[in-house]
Amino acid sequence: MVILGCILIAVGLLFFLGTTLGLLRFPDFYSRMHAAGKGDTLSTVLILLGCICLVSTQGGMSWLLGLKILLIINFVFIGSPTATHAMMDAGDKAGATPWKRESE
Amino acid sequence: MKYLYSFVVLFAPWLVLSGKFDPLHVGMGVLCSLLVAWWCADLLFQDRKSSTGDRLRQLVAFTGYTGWLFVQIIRANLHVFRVAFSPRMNRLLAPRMVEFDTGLEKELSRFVLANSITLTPGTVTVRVDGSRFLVHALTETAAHDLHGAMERRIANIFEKGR
Repeated sequence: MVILGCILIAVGLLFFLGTTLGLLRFPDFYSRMHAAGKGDTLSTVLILLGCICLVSTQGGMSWLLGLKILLIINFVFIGSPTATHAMMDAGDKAGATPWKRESE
Repeated sequence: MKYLYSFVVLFAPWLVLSGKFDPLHVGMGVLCSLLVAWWCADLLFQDRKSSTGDRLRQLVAFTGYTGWLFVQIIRANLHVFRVAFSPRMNRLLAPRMVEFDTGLEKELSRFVLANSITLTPGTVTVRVDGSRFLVHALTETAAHDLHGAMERRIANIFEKGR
């Protein structure tokens, strides 16, 4: 269980690295929101799942802690896309123009 | 019936979050859940027509859908990260706005569709106006497998028997 937890957290961190890289490299507001808004979701969920695995080895009332972490995952899943959506909408209303390749 | 649902929906998180099972804390939880269920059941369950069996079937189907969505999220994430790590990123990127009309009629299913689109990387819902969806897609591939399969599955869960 500890090993599984560590693997999950490591993979989550890897996805976070991809998210950060995307955030820094993508050309405009919208595509950066892509990277920031949901690479986030997956990596957060993976890290939290890893935490559940680690916590479950402690015995006692730890299943309760696991359930609480599941609740957090639930909220992240609803909250993150909603926030991303709100920011995209705000960007569109404020008139941020989508990036296009020079050739087009 | 809606009072019972609201009570269960409220009391289960209470038990999980409080983590104490002595009579005092559970009693307070029962009391609070009862009061809130009594006052706010109308807010939680606005659609009075669905039967209990319908709701249970929706719940089971939705759990299955969550599993499928998670697989999609992982696949699509890998796709976006290939773009992010690629040294020739600018040639792979082809951002575009896509507009389409959805056949979904219920508010709830539109909400689920919008959030699912946002969750699968490569596409973000910018605006939902009635049945009109404005979606920003990061690459060509993302724009292609945008909504067909997803919309069908959601329609299967929430809009059957209408």
